[in-house]
Amino acid sequence: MAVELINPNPVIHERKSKAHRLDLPSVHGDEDAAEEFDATEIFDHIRDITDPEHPYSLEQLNVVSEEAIMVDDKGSKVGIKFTPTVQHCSMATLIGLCIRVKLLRSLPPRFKVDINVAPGSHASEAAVNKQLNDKERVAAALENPHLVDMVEKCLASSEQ
Amino acid sequence: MPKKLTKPRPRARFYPYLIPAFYKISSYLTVLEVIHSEKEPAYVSPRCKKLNLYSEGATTLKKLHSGVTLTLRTRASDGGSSPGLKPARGAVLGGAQRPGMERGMGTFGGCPGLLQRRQDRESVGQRSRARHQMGLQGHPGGVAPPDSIWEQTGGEFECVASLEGHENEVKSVAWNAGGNLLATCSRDKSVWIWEAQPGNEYECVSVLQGHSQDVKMVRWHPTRDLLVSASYDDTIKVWAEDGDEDDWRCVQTLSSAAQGHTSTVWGVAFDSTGDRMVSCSDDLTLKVWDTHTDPTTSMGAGAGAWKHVSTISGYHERTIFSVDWSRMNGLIASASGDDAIRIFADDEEPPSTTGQPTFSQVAKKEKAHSTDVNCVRWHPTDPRLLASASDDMCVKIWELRGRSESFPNGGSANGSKDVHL
Amino acid sequence: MAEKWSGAVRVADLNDFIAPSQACVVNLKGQKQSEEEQQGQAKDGLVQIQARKIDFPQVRKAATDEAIKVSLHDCLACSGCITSAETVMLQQQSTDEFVQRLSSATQAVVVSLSPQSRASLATHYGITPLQAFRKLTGFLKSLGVRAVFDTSCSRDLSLLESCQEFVDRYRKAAGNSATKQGELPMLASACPGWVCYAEKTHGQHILPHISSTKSPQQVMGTLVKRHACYRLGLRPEDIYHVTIMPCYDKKLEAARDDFIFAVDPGGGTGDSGQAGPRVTEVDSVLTSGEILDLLESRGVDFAALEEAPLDLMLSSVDEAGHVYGVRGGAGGYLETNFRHAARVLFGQTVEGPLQMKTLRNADFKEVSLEVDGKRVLHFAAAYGFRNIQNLVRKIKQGKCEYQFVEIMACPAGCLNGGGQIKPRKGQTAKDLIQHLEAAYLHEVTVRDPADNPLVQELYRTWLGGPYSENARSLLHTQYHERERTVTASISNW
Repeated sequence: MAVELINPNPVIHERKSKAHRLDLPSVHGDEDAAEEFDATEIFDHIRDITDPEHPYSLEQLNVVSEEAIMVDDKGSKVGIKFTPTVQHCSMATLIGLCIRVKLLRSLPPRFKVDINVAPGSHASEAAVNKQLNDKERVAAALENPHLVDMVEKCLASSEQ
Repeated sequence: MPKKLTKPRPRARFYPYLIPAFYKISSYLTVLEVIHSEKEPAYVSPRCKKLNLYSEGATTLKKLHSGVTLTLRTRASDGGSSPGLKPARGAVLGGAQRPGMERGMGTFGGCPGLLQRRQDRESVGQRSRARHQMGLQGHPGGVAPPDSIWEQTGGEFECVASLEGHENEVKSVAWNAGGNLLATCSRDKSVWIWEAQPGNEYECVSVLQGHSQDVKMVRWHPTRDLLVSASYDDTIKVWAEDGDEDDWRCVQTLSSAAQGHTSTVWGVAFDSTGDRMVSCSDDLTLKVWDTHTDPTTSMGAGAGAWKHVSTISGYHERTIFSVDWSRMNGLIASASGDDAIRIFADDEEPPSTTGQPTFSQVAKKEKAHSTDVNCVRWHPTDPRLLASASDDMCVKIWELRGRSESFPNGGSANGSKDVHL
Repeated sequence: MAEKWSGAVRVADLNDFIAPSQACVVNLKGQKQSEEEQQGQAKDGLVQIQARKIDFPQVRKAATDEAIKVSLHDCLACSGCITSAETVMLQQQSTDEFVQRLSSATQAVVVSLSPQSRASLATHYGITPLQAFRKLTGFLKSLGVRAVFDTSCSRDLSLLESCQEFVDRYRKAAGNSATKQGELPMLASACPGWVCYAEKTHGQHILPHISSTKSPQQVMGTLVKRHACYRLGLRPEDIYHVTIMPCYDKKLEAARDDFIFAVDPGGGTGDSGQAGPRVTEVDSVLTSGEILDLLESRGVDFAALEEAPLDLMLSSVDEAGHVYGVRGGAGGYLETNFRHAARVLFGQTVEGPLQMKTLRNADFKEVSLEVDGKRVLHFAAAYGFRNIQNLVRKIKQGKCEYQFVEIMACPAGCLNGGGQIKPRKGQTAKDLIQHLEAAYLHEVTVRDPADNPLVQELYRTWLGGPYSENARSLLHTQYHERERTVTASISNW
């Protein structure tokens, strides 16, 4: 039975190039200096996560963007606001979960990560936000083999 | 931003600051190493690890804090089952010492399978139930871990009963004051009450389905058979037995409409008399509730209705996961995702204009752990001691120092290492 | 809303019976999309809910700010639903749909009333059950309903099948040990709350123990659509069968796939090679409360309605107006099985009411039969989730001493179902239940199901005898373990 997509015709954006990163002086500078985390770096971690429904990355679907990432390195805080493609997107929580898992693997444990949907971008905004930021719920979700499978698939493209 | 204290610091009975007191128990370290290197799958590893340690070291811990109720919250673990995910960070197992009884301890999320394996190595006789449960744990469908009842025989705990019924992981377990009833709650939104029968049999007395979301914690009143549950649905529910209906029912719901919390309630704690209760929440506040302001309304089990009397806010910056109210010194300790432990006291000054009591912070330990602090518990008889558990895989024992007292360096008795779990 | 479903279904998470997924496109029962419906789907951003053929309700297209209303049929069959099951507005849709069907007049509407709902209406209006039955018949017929029947009749059939099945199981269990597994204890199957919970949670440990006999609702469905319709001069697909039940779980039961059958285009009920249209035994379930809403919304003074003559074809009422029934607000499975087994297996006739012994609480009772000082039969009735829990645990451990258990999800039985009419102001629930129990048997002649002439005739002319091959294919069903669907866990972890 054909399953209908929520959003059969998403808008695709261009992928921003990574070229500008190579110009940073710290790459050639002191190797021991701790590099501060910034939005660009966080964005690099999550931009290539594949959307669960379409074969495009979150960046290309404009679900995540660098502007919507807030990083406070000193305070060890990261805040991400992502925009699901559709108001009723039932994949919103899954996308949020993928982002969280990716950051869990990529960031040092000192960081507190808050993941929310962009205000006004989802019909059940409050419920989704609450679910994504409850660590027990997230941990329980990650014990569900089906969900873990789906998350791994989405993250496969991002691991390269 | 933490709110500055607007009142002068109260002349408290002691002028506390916290010093960590470290205890060394070398056997813990050994076991820990072995477990990490075995790369167990998630459902075996973190929870088992805790249970294992708890049971192995139980007597040792008991010597240090006789009869301590190390009621630590469990956190469903992540990691391990899928390569690439980090091993679970500090999921701490819960267990509640059965009051008045040396033997019975209720725990949850335990993996007796590992216990059995450890026993293998030591050639200790295995309990067939442990083996049976290991099978259940290994079920690919992810069977919810059953409740386990453990009995201590001569320094070791062994599992004597397994209570199945919850659909999802069990979040919290609590014995009532009399030790005959056990309450459990789960992510499946229900609270179950079990009754101990002779011969280590447990029968389900009631299944309470009132919450609309996960139930995070249950706790019994210190003297009456009154049960309180805290939930993801932002409410606290009070349950009591209804003689008429021959069943338990919800006698009161403390929701945001009644000045309750506006986000997930993670924990509750009673004070020593049971007339007051404090709850902590994801909305960054602690709320104090009182029941004897209106003795005319009876809510069952002889208690009055709960009313909100105070909100403590502006201190913690992230979700407050746990709260405990000391029976000995009347202080409230709270643990939060901002890595801090804070202590609050009742100001006990003449009531302010609202006539309600007020609480202020009397001590804090920022960076108590290197990451989220999941649980705090006061020592039941020693007013100075406090235990905390965290995602950084440590359990730390703290000592509250007063201005008038002084202690030898390094705290009391035993030496110098963190208790690592 | 959540409180209306039985405790057992709520614990097992309603969402698992109504699985949400990405798109709500009604794709029910293998019917293909028609052209214009396919075109409608390409709209971006909006979820389309398509109506299919004539069987299903016309549901509005989803606009972003409009609540999506779907019927239970659509939900259970389809793989997608935006709203979570508990917020799906089932109630209003059911009564609206019912009225719509009546006015559209494309199908003949047949209503089957359960005795518990009848008692509920009678108690609410302070009249006798017989009066309630007559008045309701009058009212429904004035709306255009073709016939109003009473499920006590199909219940008799269900009871007889169940008795025969028990005896069969007992004999198997006592005999060759190879087939012993799963025969006893036999657990009653009439309660869909219990069945759904067992399928979801306990799987193969418990399912073999559940009686394969259909519940009275479904037996009625079979009767109406596979036998009685022909007598009314109608084809199965021309009938819209509605039942009035005391609970919401019955809605879940009516929508099970097992109760859909292919009509034999040649007439009759055998399955020939050709598959005709697929039809479900019960199209819709209304609760007692919903019927009350219907009456009140139309300002009907029920107690003052005229009493209409009853349709005797499938009712346990005779021409003189005597109502027949069985003791036991939950269908009388324990009673009937006990007496039947005592007689057939041990030659004992049990007279008068059974001596039930109350155990842990009022909802857990047992009864036993002793022959020559030895206990030979040990039956129990377990109502309510906590008792089900304890019983199931015992069964899993192999420590269950009963041979038959009447399991019901609602404490105090079906009379206390989630869909029954609520107590009046000032009346306690306990008080109401006592009234209901009194009303249930008020002026009802208790009769052994085997003595029901209708039932005798059905066995003689159509079924061929209790638990016969024909009876087993028509009046028995099967159970399936239910796994949590992937789609169910995607958004609701």
